[in-house]
Amino acid sequence: MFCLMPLGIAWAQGNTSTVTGVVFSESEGGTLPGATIVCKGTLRSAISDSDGEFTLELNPGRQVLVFSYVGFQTLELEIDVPLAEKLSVHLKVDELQMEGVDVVSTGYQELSKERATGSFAALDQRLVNRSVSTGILERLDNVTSGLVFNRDRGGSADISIRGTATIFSDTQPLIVIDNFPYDGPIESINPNDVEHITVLKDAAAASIWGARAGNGVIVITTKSGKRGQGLRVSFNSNLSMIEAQDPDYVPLISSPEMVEVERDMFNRGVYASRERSNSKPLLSPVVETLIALRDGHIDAEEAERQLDYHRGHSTRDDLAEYYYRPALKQQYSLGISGGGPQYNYRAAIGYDHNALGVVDNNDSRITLDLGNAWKAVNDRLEIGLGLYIVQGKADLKTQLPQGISSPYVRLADGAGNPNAIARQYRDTFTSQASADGLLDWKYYPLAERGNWTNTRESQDIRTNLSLTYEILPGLSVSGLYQYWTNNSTNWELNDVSMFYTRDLINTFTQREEDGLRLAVPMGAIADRTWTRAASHHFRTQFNYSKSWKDRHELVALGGFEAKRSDTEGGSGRFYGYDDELGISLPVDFANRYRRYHNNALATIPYGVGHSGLADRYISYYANASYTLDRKYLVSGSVRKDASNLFGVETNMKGVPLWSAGAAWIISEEAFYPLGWLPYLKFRATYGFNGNINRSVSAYTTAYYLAGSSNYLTGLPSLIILNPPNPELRWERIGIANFGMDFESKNARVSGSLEYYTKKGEDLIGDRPFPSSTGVSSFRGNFADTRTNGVDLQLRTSILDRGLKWSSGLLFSWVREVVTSYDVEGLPSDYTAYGLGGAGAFPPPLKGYPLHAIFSYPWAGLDPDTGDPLGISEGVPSKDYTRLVHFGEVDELVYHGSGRPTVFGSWMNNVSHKGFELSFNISYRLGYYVRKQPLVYNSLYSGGTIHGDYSRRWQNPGDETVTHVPSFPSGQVANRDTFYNRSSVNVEKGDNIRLQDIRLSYSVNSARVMGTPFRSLEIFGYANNLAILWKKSASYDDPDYQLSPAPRQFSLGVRAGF
Amino acid sequence: MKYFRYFLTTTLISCWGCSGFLDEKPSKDLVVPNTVQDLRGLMDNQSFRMNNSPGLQLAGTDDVWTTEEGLAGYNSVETENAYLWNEVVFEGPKSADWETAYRQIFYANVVLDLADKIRLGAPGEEAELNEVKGTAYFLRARALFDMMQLFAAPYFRDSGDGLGVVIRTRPIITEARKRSTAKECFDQILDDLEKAVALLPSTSLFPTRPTQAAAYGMQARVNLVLGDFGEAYQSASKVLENGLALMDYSQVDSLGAFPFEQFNQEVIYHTTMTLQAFHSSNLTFVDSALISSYESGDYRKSLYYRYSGAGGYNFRGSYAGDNNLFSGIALDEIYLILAECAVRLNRLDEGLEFLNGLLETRFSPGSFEPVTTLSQQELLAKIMEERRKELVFRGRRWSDLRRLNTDPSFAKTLKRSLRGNEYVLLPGSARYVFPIPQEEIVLNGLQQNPR
Repeated sequence: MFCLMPLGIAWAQGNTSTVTGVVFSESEGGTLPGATIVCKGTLRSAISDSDGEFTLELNPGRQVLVFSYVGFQTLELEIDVPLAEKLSVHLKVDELQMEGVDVVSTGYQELSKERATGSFAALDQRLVNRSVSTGILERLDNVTSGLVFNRDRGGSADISIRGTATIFSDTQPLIVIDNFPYDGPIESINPNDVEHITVLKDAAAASIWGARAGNGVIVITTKSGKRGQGLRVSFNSNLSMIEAQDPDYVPLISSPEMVEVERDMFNRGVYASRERSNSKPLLSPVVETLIALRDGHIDAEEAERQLDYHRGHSTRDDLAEYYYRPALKQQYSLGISGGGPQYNYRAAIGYDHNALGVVDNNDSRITLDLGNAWKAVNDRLEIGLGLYIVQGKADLKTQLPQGISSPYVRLADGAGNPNAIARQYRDTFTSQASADGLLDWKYYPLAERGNWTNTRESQDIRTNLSLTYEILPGLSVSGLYQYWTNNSTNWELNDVSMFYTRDLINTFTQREEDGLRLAVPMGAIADRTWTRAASHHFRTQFNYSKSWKDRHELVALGGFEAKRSDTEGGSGRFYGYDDELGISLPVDFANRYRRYHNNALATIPYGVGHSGLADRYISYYANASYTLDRKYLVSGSVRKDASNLFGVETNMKGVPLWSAGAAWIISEEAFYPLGWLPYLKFRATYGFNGNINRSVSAYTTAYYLAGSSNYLTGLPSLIILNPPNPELRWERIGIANFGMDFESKNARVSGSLEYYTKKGEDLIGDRPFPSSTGVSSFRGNFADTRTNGVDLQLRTSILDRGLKWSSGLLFSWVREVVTSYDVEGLPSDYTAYGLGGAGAFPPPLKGYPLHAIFSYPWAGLDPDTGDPLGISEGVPSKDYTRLVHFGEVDELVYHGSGRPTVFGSWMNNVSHKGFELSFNISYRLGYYVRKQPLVYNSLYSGGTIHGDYSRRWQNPGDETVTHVPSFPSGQVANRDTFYNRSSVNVEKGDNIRLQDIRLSYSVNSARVMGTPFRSLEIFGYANNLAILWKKSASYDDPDYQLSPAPRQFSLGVRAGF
Repeated sequence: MKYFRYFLTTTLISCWGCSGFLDEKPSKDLVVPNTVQDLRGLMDNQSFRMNNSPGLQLAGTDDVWTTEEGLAGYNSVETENAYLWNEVVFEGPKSADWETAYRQIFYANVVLDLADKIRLGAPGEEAELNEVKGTAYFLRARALFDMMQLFAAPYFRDSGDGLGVVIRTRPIITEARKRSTAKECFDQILDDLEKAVALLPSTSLFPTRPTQAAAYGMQARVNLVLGDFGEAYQSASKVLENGLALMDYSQVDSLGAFPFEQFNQEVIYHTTMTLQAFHSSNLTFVDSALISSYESGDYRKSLYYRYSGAGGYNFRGSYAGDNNLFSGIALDEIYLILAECAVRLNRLDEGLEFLNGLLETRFSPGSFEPVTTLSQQELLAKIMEERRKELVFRGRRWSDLRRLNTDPSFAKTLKRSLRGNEYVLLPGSARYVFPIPQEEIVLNGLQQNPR
C-alpha cells in the first residue's frame, strides 16, 4: 500500500539511553495523556500515551526536559542521563497561560510539528481567544501566516491562502471541523468551543483532502475534556461595541449642488420625457417644484422657498439619526469539563446576542457542545461521542429607506413625525390614484421602522461517533461517522403598513366597468423560504505506527471515506395573509393583469420555488511518514476522489492526487556547528491538490424554469446552462514548498521561512465568445497560472524577566501570474475590476496577475470644455466609445495587482505580573485600487453623483487644479466610463494600520486565595483602530472603500473555577 | 494480511452500492435535455427571448420622430445613433438584437442536435418531436432573416451577391464561422423554412409556437424581400388555406389603453420586438404625414394611436396588447403580401380583391369605399401606402425601405433635424446596414460593414 524509498545509508548513532516517566496533573492526581515532552535544545520529543507515560532516547549528561500541556503551566526539569528510575512529573494547571501547542491537525491525524514535512500554520487557543468576534474565521485575520482577507470586492469574508490558484471555481478554503468537512454555515461555530486551528498550506499538508484542497484547508478542532482531570468550570463573557455606520463615508453631491443641477437639467428639458411618460416615473421633489412653478401652480417666491427647504437638508443625516446605531454584541459561554481514568467529558453552553447596526435589528445564537469519550476492552477500544447543537435567530424589523435617490429628501417633518415620500411613481399620480380609491401610494419610511418582519431561524445539529480499536500494538482501526443537519426558515411579513404591499396591491388593481377590482387581495404579503440539509460522512481508517531498532519510525494511515449530502429547499408566498388567524387568500397566477400605472400586462409575482441539491463523494486515501534517526523524514500521501459531478463519465469523475515530502533536521547531526542556533530543520514537499467546479459539465446541461417565468404562456421552459464541453477536466494545482524552521538558543528567536510555487493547471476559465456562437462566454479548462511566494514567521523573546516582552512578525509575499490563457478580450473587459465592491473579476490575461488593475491612458482635461481626454493612436482623443471598447489591450496602462502582494503583521506582547498588553500592527502593500466612480449619466437618469462633483472642471484653467471632468450638457456615451477607468483614478492601496490592542489583567489561584476562582482574566480589546500610514491620500481607507472599517471596543472576563 | 481483508470488506459494504451513488443529479432542476419535453422547454422559453425579434431598427425608420427631450429621456445612446443614422451605433462591443437572434439560433441548433439522440417514450411522441424540430428550423430561419435585415446589405434574387451574416447550423461553439454570402444565407433560410413546413402541425396550443401557416407566412415575407413575388404569392396563399379570418375593427373597443388583445384572431405567430425605451415613450411620435393619411372612417387612426398632448401621436395599437411591439406574423400582413404580389405579377383584379378585403374590415361600414381599378403602378403605390398604414410599428418598415429604395418610384430620402443639425439618409445608403458588433470583429475576425 505504501511505497517508501528505502534509505540505503547508515547513520552514526550516539550512545543514548532511555528515559521513561509518567505525567500527572498536580491538582487532580490523574495522569495526563497527550502532554508534549521536549528535550530542550534538541529535537528529541515525545507525547505521553493514554496512561500519561512517555519514553525518550537521550544523550548522556545534563539535559533539560520541557513538559507542556494545554491548560497547564509549562515545566522545565533538569535531569542527569542516564536516569535510574522512572520520572514522575506533576504539571500545574494554568488555564490562562496556554502556550503554543506544537501539534498540528490535518483532520486525519495529529502530528507534532517536528514530524511534519509540510507547511502548516497553527493557531493555539490563546491566539483564537485573543480577539473578540461572534464568528470564528474573523479570528484568523492578521495572525495567520500566508492567509489574507481580500477586501477588493467588499462583502463577506473572502479568504485567500497563499494567493488564488483558481478563477471561477470556489475560491474559498475547505473548512474542516472535528475531522470532517463542514457543510453548514460557519456562523454556527462558537469560537469559545474551539481548541485550536491549523491551516494547511502546501500539498503535503493538504493533499490528504484531495480534490477540495486547492485553496488550502482550515482545520478547526473543538475542545474536549481531559482524562484524569477533576471538574473544571470555565466562564467567558464579553461585550463589544461597534461604531455606528457613517452614512457620509462615500462622499455624495451636497443638497444645494443637487438643487442647482436639477434646476439646470430641468431648464434643458431633461425631465420632459419622464414627465410625460405612461409609466409615471418618480420625479424628484425639486423637479416637481419647478414643474409647479412652470405651470403656474405656485409663484416664484414659493418655489424659491421650497428649493431652500431642499437645500437645507441631507437625507444622510436622517439615516444617522433614525437608522444607524452602534452595534452591541454580547457573548457568554459556560463550560464544564473533566474526566476519570477511563473517560472524559465536556459540556458547554454559549449564548451570543448582537444588537445590529440598524435599529430594531438583532440576532442571537445559542450553542450547546457535548463531548464524551470512553475507553474499554483493556483500553484497546476508544469510543467518542459528540453533539453540537446550534440555534440561530436573526430578527430584522427595520429596512433602510429604499427608492430614495434625491440627497435632500426629509424623512421626518419638523416635529420628527414620518413624512410621506413619493417612491417609484410621481407624487401627482399617486395622489390622484388614492383619490380614485386606491390605497395610499406614498412611502413613509420612518413609520415602517420596526414594522417589518423578517425572521430567520436555523437549527444546526452535528453529531459524531468514533470508534478506535487497537488490533495489535501500533495497529488500530477506526470508524468515524458524522451526521449533520441544518434546518433554516425565513419568514418575511409585509403588512399593508408597508409600501411594498400597498404598491403591489395598487399595481394590480384593475379598472373595470363597475369600478375597481383587486387582483392581489387586501392584506399582508408573507414569504416563507426554507432549507433542509443533511449529510452523512463515513470513514474507516487504519492507523499504523511502529518504531524499531531505536532509529526507525513509521507512521501510516489509510482509509476510505464516503459522503452524501442532500439539501432541499423551497419558498412560498401568501397573499392577503392574516397573521392572527393564520389564513391567506388565493390569487390567480395564470392570467396576466394590467398594471394600474401603465396598463402593461403582467402576472402577479408567484413567489414559489423549489430546489434540491445532492453531493456524493467517495474517496480513498493513504498517508505515511518515515523517520530515520530522528533526523531524516520522508512522507507521502495519495488520494483519489470521485463525485457525482454532473454528466461527467465515471472515468472522468475520479482524480488521483498525491504528494511527497522530505525533511532534514540538520541540527541533530554530529557535524552541526552552529551552537547559537540549536535547532535547524529543512523541508521540501511537492504534490498536487485539486479543485472542483460544479458549474461545468461535459454535456449540454439546462435547468428548468417554473412556468411563472414564461410571461406569455406560463409553460415550463429550459435555459441552457452549459454548452457541451467534452474536453472538460478537473483543475489541478501543483505545489512545491521549501521551508526552514529554526530556533536560537533559549528560544530567543525562532521561526520559519518558506518559499513556494503553485502551478494551476487546466484551471476553469471563462472565455469570451462572440455572440454569434449563441453564448457570450464559455467555461472550460482555459487557464494556467503560476503563483510563487514567501512566508516568513519570526518570534522573538526580547525580555524574559519580571517584564516580559515578546514579538511576532508575519511576512508574506505572493506573486500570481497567468501563464496561459487562450484568448484576449476587449479593453473594457480588463478595466472593470477594482472598485472595492462586488462585480466581475477581470478575465485572465497572459503575463499578468489574476486580479490585475488596468486603466485607460489619461491625457488630462480638455482646457476648453473640461472633457476628459484619452489617447487613441498616439493623439489625445474624445472618441470615448473607441477609447473604451475599440482600442487595443496593449495600449492599456497596467498598474499592478488589485490584491495585496505583500502582507502580514507585527504583534507585540508585553506583560508584567498579571498585566499584559498586546497590540498588532498589520500591513498590506503592493496593490492598487480604483477610485469610486463619478457618473454624470446617473444624474440624467434621476440618480445622484459622487461628491467629487464639487471639484469638477468649470472654467478654462481648472484643468490645472482638478482632473474631475466638467458636467456634460447631455449624455455622452462612455464618457463616464472612460474617466472612471482612466489611469488618473488608480492609486496605490498600500497601508499600515494599528489593527488591534488588547490589555488584560489576570490572576491565578495562588493570588486569589479565598475566592472560588482558579483563574481570572479581565481584558479590554479594540479592533480596527487606525491607519498609521497609507500611500495615497485619495482614500480614507483603500481596503474599505464603501463603508468604513468598523471600529470595535470590547470588554471581557474569562474565569475558571 | 487478515486485517487488510477486513478492511476491504468494510470498505465494500459501506459503499452504498457505488454505481448509483455517484449518478445522483447534483441539483434537482438541472437536466441533460433528453426528452421531447426538455426540447420543447427550450423552444418555449419566452423569458430567454425565443419570441423576440430585433427592435432597434425601428428608430431609423420614417415612421417615428422624436425631440431632443425624447432622445434625452430614452437614456440610450444606441437609440440616438440609430435615430440619427450615425456611423457608430452601439455603445459597447455588443448588440442586444444580434445577441438575441444568435441565441435563438443556438437554441434551435441544440434542439436539432439532440433531436436525433432523443429516446422516445410514449406513442405520439414522434409527432411531437417532429413539431419541436419544425419549431427549431422555423426559429433558426426567422432569426437569420432578422439578422439579414439589419446587418447585411439588401439582396435580391436577381442582383449580385454580397456579404451576409454568420450561418451556424451546429451547437458546437468552438467552431469558428465567418460571414457567409447573402445568397448562402437566404438559401439557408428558405431551406430551413422548407423543412419547417414539412414538420410543423396545422395548429398549436399557443401562437408563440409556430404552425405550418406561420412557416408559409415566413416564406412569403422572405420571398417578398428577395423580390421573388411568385414564390411569395404561393406561400402567402397557402396561409389562407387554414381558414383564418380578419378582425372586424368596428368591433374593437377603442376605450382601453391598448385596444387589441394579445393572441387575437389575426395572429398567426407571436413575437415582439426586444423592448427598447423608445418603444413605449410618450415622446416617440408617429410620422405626422402618416397620421394624416388615414381617411375619415378608418378605425385604425383611433385604434392605433393616442394623441400625446405634446404635438404628436403615440402608437398604442400593438397586437401584443401592451407596450410590447408586436412583430410576429398576422393575417393582415399576408393579405398585403398577396395584394402586392398579385399586382406585381400583373393580376390587378386579384390584387384589388385582397386589398379591399383587408380595408373593408378596417373602416366603419358606412364610410368604406372600395379601391377601384387603377393602373398597375398606381395600384402598387396604393398597396404600399396601405402596407405602411396597416403594418406600422410592426418591424416591417425598415425592410420595406431597404427593398423599395431600389425602385426609383418608391425611393425615399429620410430627413431629421435636431439641435439645429440636419441628418439625411439617402436611398441605398450604406447606413441602411448596421455595423457588426465590435466583439465579433475582435473575437471572431468578422468583416465590418462600411458605413
